[in-house]
Amino acid sequence: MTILILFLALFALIFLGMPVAFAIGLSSIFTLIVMTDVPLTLIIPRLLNTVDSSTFLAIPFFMLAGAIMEYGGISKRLVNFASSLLGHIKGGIGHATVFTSMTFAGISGSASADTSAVGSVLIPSMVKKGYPRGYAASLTACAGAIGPIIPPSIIMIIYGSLTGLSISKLFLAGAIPGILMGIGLIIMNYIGAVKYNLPKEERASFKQLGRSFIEAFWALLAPVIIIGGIIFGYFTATEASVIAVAYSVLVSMFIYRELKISDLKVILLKATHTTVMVMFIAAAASTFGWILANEQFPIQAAQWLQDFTSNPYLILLLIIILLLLVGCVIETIAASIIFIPVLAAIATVYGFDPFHFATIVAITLVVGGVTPPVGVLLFITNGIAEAKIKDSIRYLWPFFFVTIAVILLVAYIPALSTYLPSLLD
Amino acid sequence: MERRFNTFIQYLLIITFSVIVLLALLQIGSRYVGQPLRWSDEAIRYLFVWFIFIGTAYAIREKKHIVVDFISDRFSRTVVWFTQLTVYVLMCVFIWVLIYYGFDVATTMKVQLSPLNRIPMTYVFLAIPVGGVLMLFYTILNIIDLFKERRVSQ
Repeated sequence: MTILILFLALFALIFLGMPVAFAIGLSSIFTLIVMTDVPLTLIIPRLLNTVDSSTFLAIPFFMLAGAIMEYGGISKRLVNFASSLLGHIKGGIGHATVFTSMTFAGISGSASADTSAVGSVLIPSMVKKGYPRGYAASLTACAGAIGPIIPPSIIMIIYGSLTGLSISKLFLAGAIPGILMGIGLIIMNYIGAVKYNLPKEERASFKQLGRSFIEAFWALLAPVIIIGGIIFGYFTATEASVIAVAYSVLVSMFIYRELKISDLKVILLKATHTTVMVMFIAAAASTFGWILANEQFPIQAAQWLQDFTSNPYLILLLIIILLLLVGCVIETIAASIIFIPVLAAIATVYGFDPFHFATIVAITLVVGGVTPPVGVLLFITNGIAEAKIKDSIRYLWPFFFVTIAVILLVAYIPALSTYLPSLLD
Repeated sequence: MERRFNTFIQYLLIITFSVIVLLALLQIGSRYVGQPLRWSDEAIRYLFVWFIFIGTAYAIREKKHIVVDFISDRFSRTVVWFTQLTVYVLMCVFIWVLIYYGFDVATTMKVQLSPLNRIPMTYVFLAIPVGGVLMLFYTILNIIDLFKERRVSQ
């Protein structure tokens, strides 16, 4: 009953148009007052402890690194390289969008940072070349979802800090699925390009390709340094995020010479907004999750699932479907903080490999950021493309199916997510 | 007047963020030199707490928080106006809890010291009620804007 009221209050407030973070916080407080005699003072340390965490500190740093790359010429060079590599294939700029999102994903751990950095450059050029606006928006949103699947990843950081699993291993677990998703999107974009007769670009000469590679070299080196550093244990996830900031400042200021001190104000402010938005959602969601835990929701959910079936394959499918539904109505970060503890409890009951299970949950939650009505990534890209979400949906379906296919592959071929982490043992 | 205050808050946030980044770099550097700093980890985290609660308040005024817009396309302007007002008023209820109970908790934390630097935890917890006051201030400004808008459109 308490749980029902909690969720009903949350949906009512979100529907009214309250900012998501405040809706989560207020529905928690409302439920505490109406249904329990828990003193409200107890939520204050909850809110503080979420923010006061060394692991979560990686979030602002990755946000900042993303903003610097967007303004400092790094993302532009990644785009140029991707365009000269893939532009001559039918649907060329679309392929370049996916490829850039993948390289960008190796530096940024945030889907929204990835989407807005890549989308702000490539959506306008797709629209100019005659791509339907909704098509450009849908493709870019799905490509942006690769951001936190290919390491580093904010979702994996949250997963690790809530469950105590090694964040480096969690990062690695997402690498192959992320690449698969990129390849899948490129194939689907090719099919779409044939269907809508989308243009291709002139083939870049070998010399041009070489030049764009050299130009992008320092940008392409960033993911190597960041991912390599984490894997080989030179630094932790949080340290890697700081190094990403330092590296992108150095490259865009001294090598590309595009970043001026005066730009830093805009960049810092932009990263401030994305950071506080995510962190306040996280803080509020932790009180929400705490109420769920007090009400024994994780145990109840596990039991409920066990009554339903004891077949682990069916359970995985059920969890994926439930999470996709959750992703339609709850924002990704909030859903992660609320549901990861619940799901991790279920995973233990069924004896799933923790990294395999984490990868499935993480990808499904991130894909939830694409699905309307609450699809933040789709909001971002439709905003850039000046398209209406209801017109974009028919273009979204094929790309959405690709991501579902990847989720199912990852769910039923465990080696895709467990092989790389096992190398760290 | 408000603009000046906002600029002040902006610089406060930007400078805090920069200090956090620089301290984090310093901490990593010190670890590589072999003389890891002991005080910086706590300093970074506590600055971050203040950064988040002040930043959250500022984001209310800048309308940067994620909002799901079901209402504005589907209902008349009057309905949209009233739901918007309701949302702001309800937000004030949540913010009031942050201020009232936040202050309550902060004052009881006087005796509790942080493990490394021995700072009273009051100074960390105060971020919540102080951020709350700023959130209330900006929400009220948003409400005032809403009434101004109403008068103009009539």
